[in-house]
Amino acid sequence: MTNEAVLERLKEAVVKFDVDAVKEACNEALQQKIPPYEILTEGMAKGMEIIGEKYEKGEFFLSELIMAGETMKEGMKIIEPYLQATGKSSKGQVVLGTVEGDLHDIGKNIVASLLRGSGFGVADLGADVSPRRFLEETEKSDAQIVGMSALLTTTMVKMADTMEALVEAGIRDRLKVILGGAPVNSTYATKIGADAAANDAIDGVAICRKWAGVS
Amino acid sequence: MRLTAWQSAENGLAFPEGNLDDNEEQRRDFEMKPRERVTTILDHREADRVPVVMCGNHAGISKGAYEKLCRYVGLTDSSALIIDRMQQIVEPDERVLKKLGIDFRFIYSKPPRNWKPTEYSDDSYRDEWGIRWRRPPNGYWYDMVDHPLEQADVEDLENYNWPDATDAGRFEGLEREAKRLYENTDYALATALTGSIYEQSWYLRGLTKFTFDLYRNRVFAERLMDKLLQIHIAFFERFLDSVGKYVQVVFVGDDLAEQKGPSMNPAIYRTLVKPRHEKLYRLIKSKTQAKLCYHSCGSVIPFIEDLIEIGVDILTPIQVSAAKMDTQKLKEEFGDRLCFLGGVDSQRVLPFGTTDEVKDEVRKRIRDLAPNGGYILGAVHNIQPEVPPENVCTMFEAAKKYGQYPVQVA
Repeated sequence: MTNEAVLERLKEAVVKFDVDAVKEACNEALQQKIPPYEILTEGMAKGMEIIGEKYEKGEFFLSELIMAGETMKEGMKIIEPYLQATGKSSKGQVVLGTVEGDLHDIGKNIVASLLRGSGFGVADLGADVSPRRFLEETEKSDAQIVGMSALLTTTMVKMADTMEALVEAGIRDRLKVILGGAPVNSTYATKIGADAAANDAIDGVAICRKWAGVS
Repeated sequence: MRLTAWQSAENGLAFPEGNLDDNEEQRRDFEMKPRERVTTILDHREADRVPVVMCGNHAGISKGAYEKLCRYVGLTDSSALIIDRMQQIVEPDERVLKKLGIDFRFIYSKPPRNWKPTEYSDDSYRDEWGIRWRRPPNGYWYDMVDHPLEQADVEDLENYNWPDATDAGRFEGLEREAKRLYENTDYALATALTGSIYEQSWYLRGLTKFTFDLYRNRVFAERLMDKLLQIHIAFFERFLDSVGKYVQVVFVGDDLAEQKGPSMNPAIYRTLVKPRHEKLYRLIKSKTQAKLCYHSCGSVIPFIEDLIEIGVDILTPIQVSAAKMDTQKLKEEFGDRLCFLGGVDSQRVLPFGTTDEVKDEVRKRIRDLAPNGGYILGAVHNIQPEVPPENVCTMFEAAKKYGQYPVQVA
């Protein structure tokens, strides 16, 4: 099978949420010495793009985004060790979390899976993450993007606190900050000095890709 | 033709004849009792005015909002009884319900006789299903922090410590209470929401895992949902034996949608969830004449035909801020077969709007949904702590003012 055919099969398997086929195609691609980064970006991520398009068109729903995330996670388990070994840089490092006082993480988890599947490195801090924790991880991982999620109008104010912590530490200017969750929008993002607010997971990934210079 | 309001004068009430639109006096003379108002409306006929709701565990009011409301109306001695711990929902004081003209009273089943939630020191507890819920400091409600069946396989489902749906404690005194409310009051009686199959499944399993089950591990998904179906059927059999003949509305539900659209693919719903909903609703309808009210948040449009098909009479909460939830279109497309409950925007207007905006919102929903009956006005879902009491009072005053039939809201 040609390299193109293997990557095509991988893409198809992601779109069909066929975990077994994804694992097989990943292993096969590695055997054929396709560079791991290409397996990710030219195989799985292409499948993800189709899923995103179908979601935007209303053919796919939240359940399919979850499935896409889960399917890619299985593929990532196989290629991740090789990605690290080759030292090929990812699209960038993202620090992600649901803000302090908020335990809602469904959307944030989907974003984490989709970002990983698009070639980003993700440090997912989970839910109920304090501004200090965001700051520590951002400094430690030398991230380029910070993503904050909140479901509630009462907890989204913690996004502002986190922004403040990043400014005070003097690292705000080297970062892009993106917000997500039902109560936030671009007006709020501007108000607290963040760079963007995502309408949904697909939109969030698209914004990060744009920042990373991927069309 | 605007005589429909008066066509409902079938219960021995005498009505004057003449040009009713021009006769304010006559309109004021004619006042239905709440239960009659609600049953008339639910039969797709116009009553004296649009009925209203602010009670129960999914059309009610949270503790935070309620306390503010009590202070606002000068009720200093009201003790709020929490009827839903996870959501922090209270049963309003009878005086509040009367003041706001609420047409409903709710009936709640009780916890099992010898059961108490397991309590933890971090303001968390474990419920009857074994799910742990925690409230963050200053949080409005409790959120799930673990899913006891996350690692389970099909065999584990047989050995799981399921709640005993028929525990006698759940039904203690309920029949007497329902009978008393039915005979001694004029209110429409409803049972609080229970019977979730899809949501309860993912609460137990975790959303990601259960979604995966629905697509790729169907034996497990179906077995788990069947377990829940059995439990709910056993519950409703006993419950409706006690209260079925007294109640006018039974609340059920499963959230199927989110802000932008369905949260699950409607095809998956139709194959896996709908047949189980149908079985449960058939059982409920065999035990009571009450109308069936289905709750799902979000933009639920693609599911509405399915819900009507399996016996749903009323849809709630009509999340008007979600995509495509246009009340005018909903009424046009489904209004002859489906009633609506809720509809007053709770994401923007109630918490953040002015009282004028609340009035406009109430007028809009009445204009769209109330003609020919079929609409019970209330907030979209429970009223949250941020909602100012002025807006709560304004909502119900406006409902009374603009909700008079025949609807004359421009």
